[in-house]
Amino acid sequence: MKTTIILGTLITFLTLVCADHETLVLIDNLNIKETHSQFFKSLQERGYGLTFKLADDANLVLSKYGEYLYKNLIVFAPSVLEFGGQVDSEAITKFIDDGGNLLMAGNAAAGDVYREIASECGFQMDEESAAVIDHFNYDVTDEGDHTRIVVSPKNLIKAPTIVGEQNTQPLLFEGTGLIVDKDNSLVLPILSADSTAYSYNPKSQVKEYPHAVGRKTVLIAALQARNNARIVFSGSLFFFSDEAFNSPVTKVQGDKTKSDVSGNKILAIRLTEWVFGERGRLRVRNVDHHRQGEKEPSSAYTITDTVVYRIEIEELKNGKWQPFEANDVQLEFVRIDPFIRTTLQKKPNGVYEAVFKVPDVWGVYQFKVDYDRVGYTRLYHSTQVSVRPLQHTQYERFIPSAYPYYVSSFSMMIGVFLFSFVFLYYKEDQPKTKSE
Amino acid sequence: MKMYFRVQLLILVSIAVSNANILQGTVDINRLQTILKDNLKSKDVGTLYYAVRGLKQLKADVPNICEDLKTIKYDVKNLEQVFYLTNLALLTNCQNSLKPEVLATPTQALDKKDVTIQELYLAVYTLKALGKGTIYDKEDALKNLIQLLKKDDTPANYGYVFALCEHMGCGLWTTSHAEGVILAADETDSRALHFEGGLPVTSQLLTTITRTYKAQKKPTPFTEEQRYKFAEYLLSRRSVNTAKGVTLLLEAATAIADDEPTPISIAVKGKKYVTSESDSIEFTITDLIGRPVRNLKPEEVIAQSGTRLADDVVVLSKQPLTQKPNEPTFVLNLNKIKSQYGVYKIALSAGTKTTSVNVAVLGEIQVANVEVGVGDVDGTTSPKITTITYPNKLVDKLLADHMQKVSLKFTVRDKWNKPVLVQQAFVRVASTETDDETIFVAEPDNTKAYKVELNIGSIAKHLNYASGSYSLSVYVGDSAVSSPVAWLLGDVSFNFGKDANAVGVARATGAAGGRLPELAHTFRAAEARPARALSDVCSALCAAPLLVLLLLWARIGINLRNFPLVPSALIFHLALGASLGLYVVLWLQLTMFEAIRYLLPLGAVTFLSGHRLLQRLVKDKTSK
Repeated sequence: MKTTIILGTLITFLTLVCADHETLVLIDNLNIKETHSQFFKSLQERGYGLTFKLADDANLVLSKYGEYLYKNLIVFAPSVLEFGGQVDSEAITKFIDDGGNLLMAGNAAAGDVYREIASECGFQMDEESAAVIDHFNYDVTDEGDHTRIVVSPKNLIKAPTIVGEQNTQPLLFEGTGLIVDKDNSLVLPILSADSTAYSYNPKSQVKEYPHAVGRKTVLIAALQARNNARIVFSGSLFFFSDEAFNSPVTKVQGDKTKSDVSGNKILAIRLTEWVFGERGRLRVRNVDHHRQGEKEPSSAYTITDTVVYRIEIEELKNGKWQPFEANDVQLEFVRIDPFIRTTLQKKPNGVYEAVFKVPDVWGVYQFKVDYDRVGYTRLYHSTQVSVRPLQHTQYERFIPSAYPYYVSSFSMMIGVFLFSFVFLYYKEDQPKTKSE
Repeated sequence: MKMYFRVQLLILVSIAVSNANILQGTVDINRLQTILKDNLKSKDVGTLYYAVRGLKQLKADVPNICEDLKTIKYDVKNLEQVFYLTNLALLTNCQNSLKPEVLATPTQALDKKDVTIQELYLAVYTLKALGKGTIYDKEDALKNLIQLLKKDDTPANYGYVFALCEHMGCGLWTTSHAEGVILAADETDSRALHFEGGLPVTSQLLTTITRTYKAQKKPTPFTEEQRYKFAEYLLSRRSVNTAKGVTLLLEAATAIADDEPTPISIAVKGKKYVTSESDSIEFTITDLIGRPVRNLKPEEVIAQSGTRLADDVVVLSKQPLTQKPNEPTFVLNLNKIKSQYGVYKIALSAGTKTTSVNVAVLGEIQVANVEVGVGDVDGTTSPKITTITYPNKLVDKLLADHMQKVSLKFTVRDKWNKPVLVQQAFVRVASTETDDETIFVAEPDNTKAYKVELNIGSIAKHLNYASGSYSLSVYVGDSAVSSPVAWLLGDVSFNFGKDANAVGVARATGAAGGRLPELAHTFRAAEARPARALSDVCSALCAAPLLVLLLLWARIGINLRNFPLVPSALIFHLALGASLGLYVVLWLQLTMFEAIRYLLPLGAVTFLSGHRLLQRLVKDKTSK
């Protein structure tokens, strides 16, 4: 009996651990599994359970009985016209809304399903058959249209959490461009093209203004939704292929950048680490606040108290929760509007501390830590406390300017005390004068 | 004449379509061989086995690894590893290095009841490697295999059965079933064929089928189309980099390449473009693994036609290629068209096969006649025009405000000074201080002169209304241009009038988060208080009446003879004094509620004793 329970817990635990790594891979044809073998292998080596399905498989399901079968979804099926089974752009959107992660890669021939999903995620994919062209930065293996472009790692977003820190090799890209609304603060342009690039049909003259020109041409875009679901959308499926991973890079024009191997592999691995939540995840371990000099937390403070607030933040690193290091975590003390916003001091072991004086305005306040940085999950924590006015005993008692009042009161009291004797017991000295 | 070319072209195109699958590349044997050599140092028995098997296939030298074999780690219970080990020993003639324990696993596997075909294959070939794999009853064995196949007839299992048949000598059965298996191959994009299970299964089937048919001296059952499609699949797998993948690819590619007629691969060697300096293109025409095609006469290699993609003009027809001595490399001279740049489609035929290759004729371009002018939007004044020549820059900084426009005119000329059209003719306006940039497309007019008009008032929104200094550059590029031009023309200062922001004003940052400005609460200032001396003087004044009273009383003296020496009087005065004293203590430290707690009993005592005292006093008075 006991063993069954232990076994049961163990199995639940294992499934919980595995559930985070269950990944559905939708592909056009089984060949993609082989042409992108290094990419998939790197995922499998990191413990992902990959389920390969053809994108038009009639039995595709993402969830069963309201439970998702997969945590992550990879779509490498640019030529698919319509997904099979119960998967369509709506189902994928719902999957994201429910916290699932999505990695999607297309190419110049990608169909409308791709465009639909892209626009649900806040990007726009350029028209069909449009490809990113850069006559100034193309690779020597280019087929003549200058669509296999060499992108400098300098064009990567400055967010080491997402793209890692060791991106020094040039990247190879061949595919369509994405357009990103710069006012959408959730969308991140991971990799953008050079000023000389544009997205257009390589076979025709530029007659209309291209949808994406110059640095506005986004090659790989990402989105972290408000529910911390992550999406990476690449305009190029080639980017993740074995060929791109192994190919040397030689730029034909300009500075003739040369490299023995492209940076695609490193970047692709970093991107999957991020998109599937291996990196850039934060959580609050502990929150504690109390008056300075005390130990016990208090649910109410008096105005102008000095308060110590501590929050312990952890980051997922290499599969383990470890203390988080940063110097820009801020605390807000909010009553409708923030009254105080201060940067928390870093202490050892991922503890952040702020010592501040409660405002002299009473009401219901919140301690709020809202840490929203590029690449990290949004960390939000709020604790409600009430701040009350001074008790009548807490006011100042010995005010020098009030001494006249104190003195008058006490002289009055002394007067009353003494006068009570005089009033009660005074005996007239010469009662006989009258009789005299 | 032109008409005639067109007609011929149509015919050629139709031929090209029917053989659209001609290969466009080869499997790079040298690369694969280096991978195999690197894997020879592996400590994994499987990797080592495949590395040696691949090198044997390439007839390359294999070092003596008998000593390594003695120490190599393997799991004696694992049939697959034992298979690798024994066959590795067979390949390297190191059977003496084997321990006798390896015999047990395959023998057990053969005796197993629910043995799978794969296990049978591994076990039989392990025993064969040990020189013990004799099968006594062929008919019976084959029947059993067919029974097993019926349960699970995947292509992989067919591959194993075919391989077992090679050993048992039931090649006839293989030949009678091979065609059906080939038909079960999966097709991708109607271009490539492979078997379910990927490269291992495809390789196993292709090699066993070709070997078996060869042994029976029969032509292989592949149709030409199938051969091309399998070859196409193998080409798509050429980036393999594990020893196993490399070996399987090599074996399958060799099997397909050895088959007659071998699939032909036509690939451009080196550059895919001609310039005015180098006017020839080299093609390699080989089989799948880069060997010269047998039975291909050099005069059969002909460029059937060449058309310019932009306007479908035919530029060459039936031009023979010249073969380089002792190399499967053929040279096509494009001297005739090197001056007309553009992308050309060359239909190339080798024997009966035709393929089309896109070749670019790259031209040098120059940007000429650049005129920059600043004029009024309404055109009342004629614009002031400055001409610049490449690669100079504007001498003066141009100034333009929101009522004006900057117009830019240029022509793109080829080497022979003829104006040409290009795909990319962009003008970039970039802020010299921030990272902002906006790109405008220059449009050509009838005389192929490119023109851009920047209406300062209306482009302001693209530049965030930030007045200030901007740089103007021209980008001219095309896929048929040997060196695109990126030319920084110079600086221009825009003034957007009343809409303008100062440059550098922080716009609403779209990006998520970021550190927010710190906020501090301003506490209410303490109210102003009078000077200490003043309040001390006032305190003294307030205390004065009492002091004066005491002083006067002291001088005139008071007669308190009526004081009755009774307890009630004492208690009353003590209690009254205590209540008043309590007020002092309240002021000094007590809270109101504590004070009331003390005051209530004191008050009661004062009341009762006071009542008693007054009664007494009245009684005293009346009794007198």
